[in-house]
Amino acid sequence: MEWIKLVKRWIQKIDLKKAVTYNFWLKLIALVIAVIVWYYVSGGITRGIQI
Amino acid sequence: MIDLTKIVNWKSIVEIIILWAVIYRIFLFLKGTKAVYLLRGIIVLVISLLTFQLLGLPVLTKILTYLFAFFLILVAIIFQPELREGLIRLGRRHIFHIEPQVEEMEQALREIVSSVGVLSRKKIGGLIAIKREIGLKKYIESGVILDAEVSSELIQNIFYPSAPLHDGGVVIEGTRVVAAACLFPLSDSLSIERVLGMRHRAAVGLSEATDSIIIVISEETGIISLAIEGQLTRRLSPNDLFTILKGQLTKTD
Repeated sequence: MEWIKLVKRWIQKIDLKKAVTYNFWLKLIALVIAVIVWYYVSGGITRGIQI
Repeated sequence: MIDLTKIVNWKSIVEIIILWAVIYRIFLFLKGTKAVYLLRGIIVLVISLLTFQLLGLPVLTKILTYLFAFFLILVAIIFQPELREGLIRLGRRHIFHIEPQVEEMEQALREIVSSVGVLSRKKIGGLIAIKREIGLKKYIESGVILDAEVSSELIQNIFYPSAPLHDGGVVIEGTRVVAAACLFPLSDSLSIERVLGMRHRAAVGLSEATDSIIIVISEETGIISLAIEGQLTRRLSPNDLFTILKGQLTKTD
């Protein structure tokens, strides 16, 4: 199966340290914004959007 | 305040991770484009909106909410080309895209330096931009898309004087030659020697506008120069060039 080989190669090539440190601040800001958006939409901070 | 333990579960964590990935990709897409200033504007608006809501200021909140809706429509009109390109890229993105490893990058650099050495000896003019963090989309679009593996022979062939793609610059991303015959912005810096031609001015211009590394080979003298952050370093040997490029492009952090 070609795709299983691709997934294996992809996993083997993952450098965890590089994955975390590469564009670290951009990743952190994105995470903060994601949490705020989620919290806002789910009605955490204010009434937010009613789902 | 809502009790967090009631709303945080595995579903919410999955939602946050997906949101995070989407927002991160949007950031990467916007990085290096003029849209990044717009993003700052949106962040300021959102922070103001949240602050007004938290402080319980209804009139300002309402005004900002209307302004925000107007702003979004404005964004869709002004950035229509970027949005269209983003959607097209989303559709053709490779799922298992692999960043080049240090060894692959070094091999690509050897190929580049080898081609630069040959061009220099034969006094064939060349202009090669190597992308770092900031995207080079608008310059790539001005040329001819290649998307080929970097090889010394390919680069030599591109710059061969009678070849159709020899005018303009080559753009390299990772280990791929992305495009050739690209137009780079000309620098109006007064510090560039008057004897240097448009090719050197374009190299410095691109290095001022982006964080790319640009290699120039002079057609008249065969001298190899390197432009980084608006500074032109001249009279480099292929060995010097390789050392500098390796230092600049294969950082593991």
